[in-house]
Amino acid sequence: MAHARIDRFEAGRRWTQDYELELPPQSTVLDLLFEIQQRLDQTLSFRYSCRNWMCGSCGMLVNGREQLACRTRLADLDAPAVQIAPLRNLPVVKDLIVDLAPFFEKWNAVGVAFPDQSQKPIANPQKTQQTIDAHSDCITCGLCYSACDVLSHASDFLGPAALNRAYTLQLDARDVAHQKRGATIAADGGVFRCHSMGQCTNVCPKGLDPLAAIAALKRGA
Amino acid sequence: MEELETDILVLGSGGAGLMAALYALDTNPKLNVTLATKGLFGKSGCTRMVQGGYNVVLSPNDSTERHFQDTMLGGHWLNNHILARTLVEDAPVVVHEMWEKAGVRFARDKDGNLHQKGLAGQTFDRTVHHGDLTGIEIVSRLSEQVRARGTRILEECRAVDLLVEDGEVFGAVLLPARTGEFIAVRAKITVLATGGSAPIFSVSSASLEKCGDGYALAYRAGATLMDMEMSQFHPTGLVAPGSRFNGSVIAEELRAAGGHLYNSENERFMGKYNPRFEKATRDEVSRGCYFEIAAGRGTPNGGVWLDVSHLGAKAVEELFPGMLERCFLIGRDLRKEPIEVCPTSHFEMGGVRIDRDCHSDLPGLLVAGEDSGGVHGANRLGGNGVADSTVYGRRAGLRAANTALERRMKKVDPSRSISAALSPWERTGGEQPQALHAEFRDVMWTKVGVVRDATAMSEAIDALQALQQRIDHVSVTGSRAYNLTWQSALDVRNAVTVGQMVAQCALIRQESRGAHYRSDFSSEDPSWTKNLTVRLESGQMRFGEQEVVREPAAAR
Ligand SMILES: Cc1cc2nc3c(=O)[nH]c(=O)nc-3n(C[C@H](O)[C@H](O)[C@H](O)COP(=O)(O)OP(=O)(O)OC[C@H]3O[C@@H](n4cnc5c(N)ncnc54)[C@H](O)[C@@H]3O)c2cc1C
Ligand code: SF4
Ligand code: FES
Repeated sequence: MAHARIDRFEAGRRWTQDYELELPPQSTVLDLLFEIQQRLDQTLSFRYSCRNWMCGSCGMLVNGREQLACRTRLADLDAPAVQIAPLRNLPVVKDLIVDLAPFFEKWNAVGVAFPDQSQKPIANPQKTQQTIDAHSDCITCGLCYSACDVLSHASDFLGPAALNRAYTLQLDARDVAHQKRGATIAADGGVFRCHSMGQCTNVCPKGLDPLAAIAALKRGA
Repeated sequence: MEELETDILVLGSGGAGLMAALYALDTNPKLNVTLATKGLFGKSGCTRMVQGGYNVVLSPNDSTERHFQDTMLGGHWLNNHILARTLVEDAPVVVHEMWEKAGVRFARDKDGNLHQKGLAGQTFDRTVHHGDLTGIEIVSRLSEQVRARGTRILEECRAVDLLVEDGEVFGAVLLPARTGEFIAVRAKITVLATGGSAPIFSVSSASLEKCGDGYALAYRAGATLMDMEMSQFHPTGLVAPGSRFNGSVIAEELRAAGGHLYNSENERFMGKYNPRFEKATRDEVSRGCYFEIAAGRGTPNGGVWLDVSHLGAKAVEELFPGMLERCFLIGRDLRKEPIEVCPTSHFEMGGVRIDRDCHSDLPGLLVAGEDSGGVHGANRLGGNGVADSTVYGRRAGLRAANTALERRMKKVDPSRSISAALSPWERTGGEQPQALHAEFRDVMWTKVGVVRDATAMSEAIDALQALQQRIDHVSVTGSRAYNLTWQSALDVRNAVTVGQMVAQCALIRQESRGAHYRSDFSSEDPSWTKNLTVRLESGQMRFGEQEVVREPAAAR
């Protein structure tokens, strides 16, 4: 028997709701939510798409920690009850669904800029490309954004994911906005806000290390 | 009700939708482009989940003619020749432009050239990739570019119906999940890029919001669809009973690298069906697995065993880190033990009939990517899917930009679409849409799945008819905002329409070809080298035939 406590939110009202249900042994948190929604409570809302930790739609707090619901098995939680809440540092829209707009505004602020130079292919030196690769494959799930203590009191901080992306772009020879981005990175909401607590790196489901990216930017910024 | 006007309305944010928006804007930055997508922008759809990679001719030792031949052979000559030719000829340009324009990174070899690997059905190693996360890279980079250009993005906002008058399309009715309040969007050109319908079958690899919306929307608008019987199954979906994880793809590379398939009697059975064993094409391996399971030689959970442990733990870790992790989630260690797999619904070859510039039969409606039919014929090669969505997405964008200003805007009354979508709210105590949806998917899987015959399909068609009627009695409760049950009620309506097209066309095609296998007509019949079409006429689903489109002799 699984026991779930879920933070609910709708139209300005906040409450916690308990559910109990039987589930097959392999169930993930995403399965649990689907079963509750279909069998017990039609009004529960959450997000999903790929169910393969590829889209980053299902980020939430599971027993206080940032997790992807589709990747978290109930059996591995080792707790009598599973507590589920929306991600932190982002406005809650309904139940477990948060508004990712601030996250993507910051992503946009570090600016992607590739000129259309169809005639002249440029490749990065191999070593640089390896560093870029090591910091790539972010699925924009926002887990690091939620786990960041700086963001919880300084909402203008660009945050780990955007800065990690900025790092890959600063290294990329094909990009043409290095100077402008460099200024954004060094400005008020930029890298120097980071206290190097490393929660971002701890929670990243893709094994990325935004902390190291920020450290490298600090050295070069 | 909110109303919006835009020059170009793109529906969907997979490879096709993103490329359409990007190329429309870059062709004419003055255009007003709106992109609406059912899931989150750039996070939904199947392009995101592409692992294998992207087929493209880059090497001087390869040729587009060879890629074309492979594609036609894979499609059993049912492909529209002109569309297949365009696919292979545009792909090199598109891959190059993605690298330069959007910064998409593909893996490189030690000389700095794009690394190319081989997938089943190709005579040359021409698949570029980004490890096994090719889709994430393509979609993330393209989304950044679309966002950076200031496109109006309406995410978690599904198209409910196209707005049609006198056979012309003038936009769409949208339903933003967040508010549950409809928006009527008037557009000069609408680009349909909502992807396929793999989840009309109960075991599927696709993203969970998919249900064939695009086919149903185009059908209700009066467009002609083709090849709808051609549903592709990937042979190795992970078996995870009771979990949403069920059906996730276990990559083809496991078989390519020497993985073996066993039945419950510990027999490496593929040799019975094909001399190439596990390296046979997707349809052949899918059927091999299916026959073993049907003959009672399946695993406890209704699959077969896939084993790569003989390759050695180190090799498995190095070659398949993603798959290793995927199997851990169901408590299996790929390095040491076999895993249970079974065929999983993966792709729909059929779709809206288009020409090489993505025109459908309906003026004002362009269609690209999995929503369209004809490129792949009876079977799609691995690596040709994302090539299709980006090549034709780009073409749709260019076409839309060049013709949008010539077209007029028209206000079409959306009230019929809206009241149909709202009807589940008018009842209480009706059926639960999600249960109905699950029942529907089981009918499709058991009666119109990997192996088909007339008896089972006729039963399916009756069952679908009955389900169709029950849809009129579902009810939903709660508030309209982010109401998953209501969304499901809208999904099942479209899914059953698509299921009917698939089942009916599969019954009509009395032969086996590519992905379509009939146990009662088990060989390919040359007289069936033609396409089946389907469209809505006087309120009925009408079926027809057409000659396969060939290239004009002068062109070659
Ligand atoms: C697991 C998996 C692996 C694959 N691997 C490969 C591979 O290695 N190589 C390859 O070539 N192909 C592969 N494919 C196939 C490939 O993903 C598809 O061919 C291609 O990505 C389809 O692109 P698309 O843009 O047409 O649709 P999608 O990428 O599916 O995008 C559809 C978009 O439309 C939105 N949408 C859906 N309904 C509506 C609606 N009603 N209103 C508005 N928006 C809507 C969705 O939310 C989504 O954003 C794979 C498919 C799967 C499922
Ligand atoms: S860096 Fe990691 S945790 Fe942060 S958004 Fe990207 S994938 Fe998620
Ligand atoms: S559903 Fe895509 S990451 Fe969980």
